[in-house]
Amino acid sequence: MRENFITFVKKFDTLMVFIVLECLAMVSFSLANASIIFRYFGFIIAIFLIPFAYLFTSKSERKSLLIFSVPLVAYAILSSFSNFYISKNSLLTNVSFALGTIGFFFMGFGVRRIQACKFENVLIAIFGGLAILVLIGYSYTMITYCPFYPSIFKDLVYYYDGVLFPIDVETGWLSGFELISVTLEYAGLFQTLLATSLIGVLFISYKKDRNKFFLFLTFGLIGIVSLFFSSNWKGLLFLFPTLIFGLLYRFLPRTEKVYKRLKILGIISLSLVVIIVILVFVNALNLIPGLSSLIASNKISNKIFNTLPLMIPINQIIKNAFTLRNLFGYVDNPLTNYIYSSSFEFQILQDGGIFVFILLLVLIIISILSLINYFFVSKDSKLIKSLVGSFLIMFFIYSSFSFDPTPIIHEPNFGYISLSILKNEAPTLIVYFLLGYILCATKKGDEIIFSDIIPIKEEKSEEVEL
Amino acid sequence: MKKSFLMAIPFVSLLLVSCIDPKSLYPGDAFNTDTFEGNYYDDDNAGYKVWNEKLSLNKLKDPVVFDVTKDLRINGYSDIQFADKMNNIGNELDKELDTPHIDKGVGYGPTKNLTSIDDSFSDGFLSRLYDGRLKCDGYYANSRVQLKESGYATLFKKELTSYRYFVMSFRGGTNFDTQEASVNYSTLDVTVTFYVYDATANLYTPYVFNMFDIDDVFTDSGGSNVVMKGFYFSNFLKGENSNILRRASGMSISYNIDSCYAWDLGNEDTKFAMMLYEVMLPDSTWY
Repeated sequence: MRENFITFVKKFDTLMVFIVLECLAMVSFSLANASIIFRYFGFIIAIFLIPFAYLFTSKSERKSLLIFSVPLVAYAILSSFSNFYISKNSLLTNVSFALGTIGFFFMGFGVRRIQACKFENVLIAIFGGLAILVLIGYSYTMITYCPFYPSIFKDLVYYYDGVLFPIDVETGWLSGFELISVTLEYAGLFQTLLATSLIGVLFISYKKDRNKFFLFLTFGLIGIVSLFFSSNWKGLLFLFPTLIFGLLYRFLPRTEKVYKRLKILGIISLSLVVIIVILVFVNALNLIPGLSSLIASNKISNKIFNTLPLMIPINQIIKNAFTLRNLFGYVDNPLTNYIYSSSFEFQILQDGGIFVFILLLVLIIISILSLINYFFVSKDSKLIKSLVGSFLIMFFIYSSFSFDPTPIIHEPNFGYISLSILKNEAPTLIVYFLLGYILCATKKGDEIIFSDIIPIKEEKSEEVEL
Repeated sequence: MKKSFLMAIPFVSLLLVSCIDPKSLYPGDAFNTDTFEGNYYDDDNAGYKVWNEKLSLNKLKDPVVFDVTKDLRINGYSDIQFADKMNNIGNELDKELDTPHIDKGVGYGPTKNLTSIDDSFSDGFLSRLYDGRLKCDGYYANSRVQLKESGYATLFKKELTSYRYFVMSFRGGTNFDTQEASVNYSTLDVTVTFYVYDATANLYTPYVFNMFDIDDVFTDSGGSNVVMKGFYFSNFLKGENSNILRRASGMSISYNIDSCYAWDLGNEDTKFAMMLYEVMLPDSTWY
């Protein structure tokens, strides 16, 4: 009976891979700006992947799925139906947010369970879509402006529809079927994510696989060149953490001693981040008056926690969020006291409320652990691991420090449509997909092996010997 | 070969490079300085360059002049006969003049402004004359263009194909410190000219509409006290002349000061400016 079911499901594996690839390529390209359709589409695909997930998932993997699913589903529902989103969006849109979050995550989980799926092709679809999008935006920018225009025309303004706009903060972008102006920060997210594909080049042998080598090199170059010629130095700076990650992963010797040191370094870094986050909250809410005064009295700590441009809106958001009125998300309409922050975590705190924020932190912690587990347990090639890892790291770092909730330049009244961007946009949906994909067994050997279920022909490994 | 081509993609775009017109760029405080004289719109970037290079007199045919007498003038919102959307706009009477930019599509200004009619009016410094803000709505100097008597001239990106009426919203401003809140008036002669290009003669034909003795121009009485003046083209362009403004692609506005309240008070050194908020050709079409 089970074998018959497996045979039946297997008939559709190639078709499912094709649909997933199409969906991801279109999402990455932000085709027609129809993200609401893609969110529903992603959910429907996830439903069709259930038989694959059911048949080809080990007990250990199911456990991982359960651990991740509970906070994810709670986060998806609570954040999509927060006071803020209920007041701003239609029911259909909010339902799509919830289903899109869950759907893309399970799509990632499910696609790993399809034997016919070569994940390198999935990554090519993702980066390919991003590359076309970035390339069109970049070409439009070069035609409309000129290379290095933010540096050349620094502090100059132009007028559009009677309103003054500084020229050095914007860039050209494809939005649906329209070419518009968006902020450099917004375009920078796509460009930096695309540039992470260069990390893959470190793991491809030029001699053995030139096509793949040039493909990822081209993707990466489109990202870097577009950042460079639009003078997005901040964006280029954000590439360094992923570059360091890629180089370490490529060249660091894999010895027990190194692992131990990395583990200690990781624990210290994570502890430091936790302490800083706690201090940020204690300071903003003035929970320990003496401590807040102490922070304010010292020049450096005052700068870090109070006067840094990144921190000013964060402190304000925290203060507003910890009120009974805003417990389940920002409620004022119009957006009189709405704060725009460069950190996506705190924007979510404002939009979704404290409980959603806590769930987000839980998800971030589980994601980090899941990524580490993926690197140690998964049998994926180093190319795939490095690309997935650098994509997720880049998204997290960039969106934590350079997130832009109002990217559209010529939008009167700072249209709140822009605010839904965290749930709306291609990078977020791809991140959900990748988080689903990296979920694997917690121990080596607990992973599902297709050949145990269905015998397959051995394929030649294309991985570089390191 | 193929790979080299792929590699070259990011750089090929560089060949497409043009460059933003630096003339459309301004310092952040352009025409919005602390000094009254520094805010006159008279730089070479736009209006005067158009005067000198395109519309200067030696390139023009003889002007056709119309005298827009007081009885033929639009003297305010109540004089406007709506051809369409009468009800929608009529319900928003309180927004007839005070028209926040964000209320696009609500009220008279944001519904009938040139930007709403055609996107080609959105670009450039003068777009503040086409954005539907008929008076100061909190944007202060950013809502208006401060003009000398020589005014300004502009060439449109498109040509006028049909038209009903012309309306402009403005007030007077001086560097005279009144020290007290009061309603003051000046008298102006305003000249509005439309330019139609004659390709065979390579000349612009000016059609001049003179609105003389406008004696109720609020001056230094706050940004919300403006006057609306205009005229219906049908009162002047009749019969076979009714379409002579078709293909108009340029316009200029200038004025003469007949009297200024500050001068009447003996302050003859006082500088005067027309604070022009909006220029409208409601219900017009462009191609």
